[in-house]
Amino acid sequence: MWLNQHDDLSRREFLLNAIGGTVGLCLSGPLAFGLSRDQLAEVDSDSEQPLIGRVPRPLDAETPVDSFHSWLTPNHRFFVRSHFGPPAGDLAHASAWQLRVQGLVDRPLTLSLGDLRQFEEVTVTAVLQCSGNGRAFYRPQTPGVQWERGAVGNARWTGVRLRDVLQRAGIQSSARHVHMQGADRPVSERTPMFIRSIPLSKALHQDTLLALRMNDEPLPLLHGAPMRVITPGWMGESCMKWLTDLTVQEDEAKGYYMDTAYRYPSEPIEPGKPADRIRMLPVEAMVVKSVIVQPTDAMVVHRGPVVVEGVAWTGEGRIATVDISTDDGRTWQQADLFREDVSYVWRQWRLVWQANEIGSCTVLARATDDAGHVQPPTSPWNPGGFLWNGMDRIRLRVDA
Amino acid sequence: MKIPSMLAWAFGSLLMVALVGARTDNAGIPETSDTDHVAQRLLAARCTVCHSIELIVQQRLDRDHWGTIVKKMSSWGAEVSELEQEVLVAYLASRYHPNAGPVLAEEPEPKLFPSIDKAQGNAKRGQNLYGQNCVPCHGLQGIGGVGPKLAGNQVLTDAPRFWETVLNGRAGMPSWGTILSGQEIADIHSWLQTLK
Repeated sequence: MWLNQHDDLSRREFLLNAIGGTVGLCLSGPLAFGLSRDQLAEVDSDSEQPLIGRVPRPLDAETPVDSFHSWLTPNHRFFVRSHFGPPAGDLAHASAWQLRVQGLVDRPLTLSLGDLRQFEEVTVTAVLQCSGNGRAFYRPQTPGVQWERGAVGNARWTGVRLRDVLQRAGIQSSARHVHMQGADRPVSERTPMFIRSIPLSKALHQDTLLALRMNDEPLPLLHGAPMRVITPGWMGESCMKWLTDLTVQEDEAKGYYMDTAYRYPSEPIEPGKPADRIRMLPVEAMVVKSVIVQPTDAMVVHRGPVVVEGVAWTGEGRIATVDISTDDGRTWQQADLFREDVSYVWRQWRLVWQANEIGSCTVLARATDDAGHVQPPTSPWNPGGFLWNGMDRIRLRVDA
Repeated sequence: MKIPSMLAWAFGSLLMVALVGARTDNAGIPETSDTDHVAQRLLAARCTVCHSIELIVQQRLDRDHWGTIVKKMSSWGAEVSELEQEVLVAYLASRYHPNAGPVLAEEPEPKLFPSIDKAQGNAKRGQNLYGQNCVPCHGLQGIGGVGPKLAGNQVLTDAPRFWETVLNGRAGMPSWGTILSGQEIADIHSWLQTLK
């Protein structure tokens, strides 16, 4: 039984699972996200640095792009975005965990992890991405964590359907939105809580999960143990970690993280200017995007065949083509796509380029999805720096 | 130096800043001024309580943006007065502006106060100081939060360890030796010892 591992999780295993298996983050300095320094010593066992730290406390760290050679991103190399960091150890312990379901439901529920065994187990492979991934490339720069290319990953998520749990509670006819809250708390009581909502239609989608496992391991603490929401095709802020409360309501959730953050203007605005009097839309689905994994920027390659490869993904649809330019966008060649052609996952792509001319060149990758959306040269500027999907670009030198 | 006199000094420096104008030399490298030291102490004492300094130093924003952010942080619980907000915004905008390079020197450690005297504490003053400085992490009445519970904590009876922790910081706790005077730390110590 896949849930038993949660019930039996010892304190030590729990700590080891904080960041995914026995391989730890190698960050120096105090990391006050609920683990003490001694506790961290238990998980800090690998000399390799699996993640690029952006903010040590609360932890924000992105995946080095070379890890995307692997179709599934290993848990210990999966990016971490924290609003406040995990709840203190005892609060997050699986044996005491309770999920409350209330609001516009006929039968409010309080479920333990064991209670979830009554629901069908489901696995969905899906890309999870921070909506600020690529924020560092916007000019003028926008405030927030300056993510570059690695606040994204592809993982197998296993759990139960959110739909099944909501239907057990009995959704009333006036319900339109599902509010979500986790067990994480800000340092100051005056800091707004991280509360999000998703429309009922997304909550009832057959692929929207309450995930308890990630890549066939118990969900690591930094990724929301014991339970997080996964909204395949949508950005990470809808994928509430350390989930404790689902409240069905008629309206969207209120508060900073719904009303102000995670919104972008409905029409183009002048870069650097405020979006006054322009309707702001909530960030929901991901946008079509590709990343070049190999070669890497500033690399020197030899004349002859050069393998150019990477990954490409989009929102709820599928990738149609990935085109590569080795002359800064003047001409394009279509790459081959690999792995399953299904929704939510990323496709791996590869092109063998005959590098005949010695000198410097710029390589671009441009993905197109099945709805006809094409990756633009640069993304429309927005004040929050969300949804960057500008064509990925590297510079190479070809030597004899 | 005590906080009130520090603020008076900050205010004086601020007036000077207003008179002198931009604090960058021709090469665009900010000079270090007394106001900078005040700002550096505020960053350590008021901002890194909730998040580490890296979140700040990776930003490249103009003065208006910094003003908006500092005001938001104040409304979210950062203990900064309006005067302190002005000092912070001036510092951040002079150092982390859109034309600053991608990599800057590390945010300097704030200067230590010249002397830390382990004076006799006053619990009443300590209660106030605790509310201004310690409560976000250690909770009302020292019941604990992000930081450990302090009411009845053994560290209160181990004076060398208490002073070492407060002066130099420990785990996620910043060093308060740069923020509080010895008298103020002694005051807080006295008040904490009254808690059960």
